[in-house]
Amino acid sequence: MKVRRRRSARWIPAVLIAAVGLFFLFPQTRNRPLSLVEAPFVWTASQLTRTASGIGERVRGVWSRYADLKGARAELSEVEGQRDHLVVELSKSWEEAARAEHLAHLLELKGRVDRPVVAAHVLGTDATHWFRALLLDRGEFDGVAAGDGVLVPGGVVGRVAKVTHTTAQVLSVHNRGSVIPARVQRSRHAGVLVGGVRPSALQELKESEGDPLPPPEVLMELKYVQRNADVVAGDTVVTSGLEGRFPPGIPIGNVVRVVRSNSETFLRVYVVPVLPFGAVEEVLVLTGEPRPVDAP
Amino acid sequence: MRRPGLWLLAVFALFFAVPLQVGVLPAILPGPWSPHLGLLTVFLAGFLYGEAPGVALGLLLGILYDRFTVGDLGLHLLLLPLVGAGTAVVRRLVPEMDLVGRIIVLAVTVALAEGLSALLFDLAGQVLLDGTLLFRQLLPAVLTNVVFGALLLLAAGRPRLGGAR
Repeated sequence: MKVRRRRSARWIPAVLIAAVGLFFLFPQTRNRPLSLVEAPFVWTASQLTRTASGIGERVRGVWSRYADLKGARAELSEVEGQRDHLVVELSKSWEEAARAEHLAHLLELKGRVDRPVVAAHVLGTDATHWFRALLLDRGEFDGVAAGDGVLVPGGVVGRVAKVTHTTAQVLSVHNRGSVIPARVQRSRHAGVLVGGVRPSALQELKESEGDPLPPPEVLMELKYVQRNADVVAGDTVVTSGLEGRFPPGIPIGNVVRVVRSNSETFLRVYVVPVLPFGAVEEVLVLTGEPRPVDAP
Repeated sequence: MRRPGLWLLAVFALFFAVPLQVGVLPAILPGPWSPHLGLLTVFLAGFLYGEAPGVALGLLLGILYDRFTVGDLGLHLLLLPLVGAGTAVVRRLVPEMDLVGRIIVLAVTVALAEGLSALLFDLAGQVLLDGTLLFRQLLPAVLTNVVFGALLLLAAGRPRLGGAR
């Protein structure tokens, strides 16, 4: 083995010297006799190189795509995070815009009302499920008293039933026990709007003809409307202002059913509230008597 | 501090029951589907720890609940101490009671309390006790309270009468 290595070792300098000699002897080897010798090797090498290059490019492409994909995935994750953040921000903006719009409406209503008012935020509902009531964050210290009317821009919410130093309970217009002087806006017939309906009235309503009725717990009855009064389903019922706790003309509800009976003096007019009671967030509490009108 | 569960109930009654009942639960479980935290707290206090804690927490929660409802009656001030005392008496009479027995006592207590509330508010002219109210308010309220109360009883395990004494 050692002898063979020595022989090959002798060959190596000889080949190198021959190569250098040929290099100097034939400066233009590409076009000269040497090119005839090298051409097949070069062609083969070039083909192999091209193939290898193609494979390399493919590998590089795959790697590049993998790297891109990995980058894209990271980028996608980041973009998704940004998108989620923006969605939250957008939602907050919408919420703030809606709240600002609502407060602007409240402010506008405050300007229209002819008496002192206190703006209040709804903290919650009644502690029991028996009553449809709201808990407000204003109380005696803010000038709120039992019996005060409570409004939102869309209509009447109800009346303050109980008050503490810092909170007030509002009984909704459609709860049993609520009584508000009201009139039919179109025909101007006045009556008293009472929350809740009697069981006999419910039975009568079920037997009467007309559109499907809403759940009984949201029904109110406009009492003491003359039998010959012009009242039809769809009419708006507004405050009459007779009692003094509410200014006149504030919407309370819509008539859903009118029952006429020849044996009774008054009509039975059934009404549903205009407000979605559960969606009320900010309200105005009417805390005083109407402001006196300045003499000209 | 020999009865940590009772202290926990007392702290819950004083600080958390009404705020949760008024401000949080209605947003999650509306109307009668919302458990009556005061009733369940007093039930647990009376049933697990005896008359004195039941009545004391009943009085405390009765005052708080009556303050945060538009109902004219002092209904909770009457009802909750009665629940606290009554459940404690039942537990004392039948000390060895399995889970089914305890749930039956809970169901009877809740049904009586809710039914009495409806009846008294109807007599006071503040609600109208008819078939609609029965199926839309009373029945869901009883079911909800029994389910939540049973879960609380399960969580409480089987403590001896009078707590850790």
